[in-house]
Amino acid sequence: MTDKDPSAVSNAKNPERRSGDQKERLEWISKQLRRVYDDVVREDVPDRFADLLKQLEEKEKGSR
Amino acid sequence: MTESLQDIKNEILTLLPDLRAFARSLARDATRADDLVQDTIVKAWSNFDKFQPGTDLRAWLFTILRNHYYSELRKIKREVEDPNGVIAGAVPVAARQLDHVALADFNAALATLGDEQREALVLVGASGFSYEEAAAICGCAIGTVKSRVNRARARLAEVLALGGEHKIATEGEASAARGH
Repeated sequence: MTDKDPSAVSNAKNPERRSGDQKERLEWISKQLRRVYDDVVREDVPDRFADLLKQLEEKEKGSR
Repeated sequence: MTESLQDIKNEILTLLPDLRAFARSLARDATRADDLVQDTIVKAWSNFDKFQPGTDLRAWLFTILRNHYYSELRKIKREVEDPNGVIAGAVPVAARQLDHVALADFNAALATLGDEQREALVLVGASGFSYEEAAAICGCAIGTVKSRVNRARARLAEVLALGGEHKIATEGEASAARGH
């Protein structure tokens, strides 16, 4: 394993870009975060939860 | 409680996708996250008399979920501490263009955050809570949430974009960090 990743070269050529990129980087992070989160939000919710809620509801009805 | 059981059930059902996403961000492992959601539903249901009508049910459920997560974490701390260093070893580094950073790398970077930082970042940055709401959910001061969010963002920027000095996580390591 080498110390330097070959793709580091592109950044090394433009060191002045790095601080200017900070804002862009933070925006990118926010976007990725929402993407990761929304990917889960969009998943189908497993049936176990609807089944559980139905069970709880029926149990409660029965106890009244 | 004035709402019917049917209403409560339906409200919880509509909040499930969001709860699952938050749980996943905390527990990372999908099965464990869904177990957290399941326990949250049971707890919420049996404590519904403690819910104050007119307040935000979503924030209430999130609070139950995160409190349960931390209490479970204390119980099973040994398992969660990543004894083999799988997660810690998967720190990706990337002197790459942002567009080329894979989602797997982003997830691995998220996994390097401490629970408190990640939770604050997700609540504010993904779940859409205000700093004030997030502070109430986490049981801490607003300033604490702000500083955790800022530190989390800075840490991610550092892990993802500084580059050159660390190794790049292999796909296998990144997958391990995602818990799959």
